[in-house]
Amino acid sequence: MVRETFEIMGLLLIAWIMLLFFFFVMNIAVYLTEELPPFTRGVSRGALGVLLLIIWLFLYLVLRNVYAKTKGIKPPKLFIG
Amino acid sequence: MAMSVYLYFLLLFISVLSFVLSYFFTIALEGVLRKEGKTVPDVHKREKPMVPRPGGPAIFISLLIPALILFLLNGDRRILGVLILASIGFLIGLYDDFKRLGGREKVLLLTLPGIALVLSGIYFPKPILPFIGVTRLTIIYPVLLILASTIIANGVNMIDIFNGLVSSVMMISTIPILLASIMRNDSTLAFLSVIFLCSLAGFLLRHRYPSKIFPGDSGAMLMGLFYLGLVVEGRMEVIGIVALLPVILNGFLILSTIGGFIEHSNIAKRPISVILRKEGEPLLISSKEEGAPITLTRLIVSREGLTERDVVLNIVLLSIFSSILAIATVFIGELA
Repeated sequence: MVRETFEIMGLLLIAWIMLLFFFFVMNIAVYLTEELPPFTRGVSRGALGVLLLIIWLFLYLVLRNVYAKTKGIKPPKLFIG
Repeated sequence: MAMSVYLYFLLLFISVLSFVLSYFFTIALEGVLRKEGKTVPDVHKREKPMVPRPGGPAIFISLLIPALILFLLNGDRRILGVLILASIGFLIGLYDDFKRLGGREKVLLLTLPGIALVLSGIYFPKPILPFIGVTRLTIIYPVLLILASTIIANGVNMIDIFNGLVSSVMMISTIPILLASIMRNDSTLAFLSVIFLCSLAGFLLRHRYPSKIFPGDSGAMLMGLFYLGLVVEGRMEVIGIVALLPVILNGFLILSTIGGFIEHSNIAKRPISVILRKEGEPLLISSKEEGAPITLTRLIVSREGLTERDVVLNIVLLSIFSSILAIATVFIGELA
């Protein structure tokens, strides 16, 4: 087992913690929107959920780009780079 | 008591059946494919031996027959939901194996299994999320399901690069699903997970290093979509995502580097190079080319070259690690 595998495990662990943190935030949002009318409640929860999922994916990709840089690999020239 | 004895017997029967069907159909298929000249070079070996491809049909039969037997016995429609996803994915993959689809075509076509499942209505837009518990996502869920269909099928296909890798990774990723099914007393999902595990185990005996057969796109897409079926029908979306974190990472690494969906055989700059040594197996080293895709393998071999076997071992260890995280997610989900 090479060092890089341990490092990528660390990356996966951070991604997992971030994912759980977003569900925790979502749980708070569910609690706070309890009193809203059904339609507004559904739309706001759905929008926030999708937004959090996109943010998670974005951060996951930024994280691995930073990691790739430390390995001397030039990350892609895209918005996520 | 009588019921549990019956369940144990059924479990034993379908496990053995899927394993035996997978193993022997794979051996039979190897002969047929060799005879028909359907072989491809194993590029990571010194002698570049010709290996039969695709092994997908053997996996498909070994999943289909036990799953249909299970459906006849318990009549759970969710089995049909899993089979809809897997069968359409398998057929698209089979077409790709023989006719070669472009990257964009493949991505678009692989939304079809998801669309078919949405149209069939055999899904439950009520995923169980960590901390939150049961949620209701009636509007957004079908859209996510269609997107997941193409992302998972392509992601699993992208990890089918070394001997035995895709079948090992998919087997390991199924263990948290099986565990969660048992914890939720969902016998249908537990049986389907066991069928999947045993079928992949039978195939892995021929796919492991040095491979006697490759699964091909039909095999990889079938595995990806059967897995998605288990996750969707079992309402284990988050557990499934966590178990597949290395596969998702690898898929997005490639996509974001090359800036779009391109068929992997058409990528001009290769992420790794194969170095032949005087003795021993060839070494895989990271490409020095700028703009070459950043893959999981390229990250693993970025400092020092490794043999194919070592790379597979390291990716399998990553898969075991993410499956442990998925099992932890199961327990967190149960606490909600």
